[in-house]
Amino acid sequence: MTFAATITSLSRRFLTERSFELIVAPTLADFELDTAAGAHGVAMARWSVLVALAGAVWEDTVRGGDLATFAGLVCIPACYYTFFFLLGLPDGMSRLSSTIVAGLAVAVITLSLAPAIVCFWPDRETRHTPTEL
Amino acid sequence: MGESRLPSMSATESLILEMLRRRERYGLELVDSSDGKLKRGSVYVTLARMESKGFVESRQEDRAPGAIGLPRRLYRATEYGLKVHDAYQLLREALALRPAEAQG
Repeated sequence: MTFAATITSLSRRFLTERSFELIVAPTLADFELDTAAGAHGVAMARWSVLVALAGAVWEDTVRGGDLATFAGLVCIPACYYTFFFLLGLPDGMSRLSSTIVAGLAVAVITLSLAPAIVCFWPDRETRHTPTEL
Repeated sequence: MGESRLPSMSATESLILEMLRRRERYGLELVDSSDGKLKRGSVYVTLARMESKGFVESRQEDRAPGAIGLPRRLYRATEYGLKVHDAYQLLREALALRPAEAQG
């Protein structure tokens, strides 16, 4: 899978049609122009595409006013798993090494983010797929 | 009673409108002629916001049949965008004046 196809696929999953058309697609078009400009140019162009993708996600979530919804979706499982782990530790957290605490924190974050991402970004079947890729 | 909000315009948006005043341009063209003031990764986010505000319009470039790759986008300033830009320029100039200078 090429870089452009990967970005298009990620955009199809996570972005609105408008953000893809106005932000990611023009950056990808510039990226395709720059592939003949040497390794440094390609690396810079790829970085620009990734920044544009992040900007488009930001536009859709934060400026779209959906950040609170997303935060809520993350908080619900985070509270559940934190409580779950605390119940499983009768002596509390004090006897655990910092590595285990960090591991538990990563587990809680991962287990909370994964369902939130799936719920918050449902599949959008209406996206126009560029046929040129 | 409906209260209309004043349009806001950042310095970056102002710069882009100034560059689009005479003719339509590609996003990459804007970055190249901005002396490093515009970044490739963020210029399209800014242009998308400006399009939402009605400051610019965009269209896909005309392409020869059989052309490979994604079409690029061309941007042009709207009359409204230029009007807001000019109003902001006047405001900035007026606010930059000291009271003594303003009195003449």
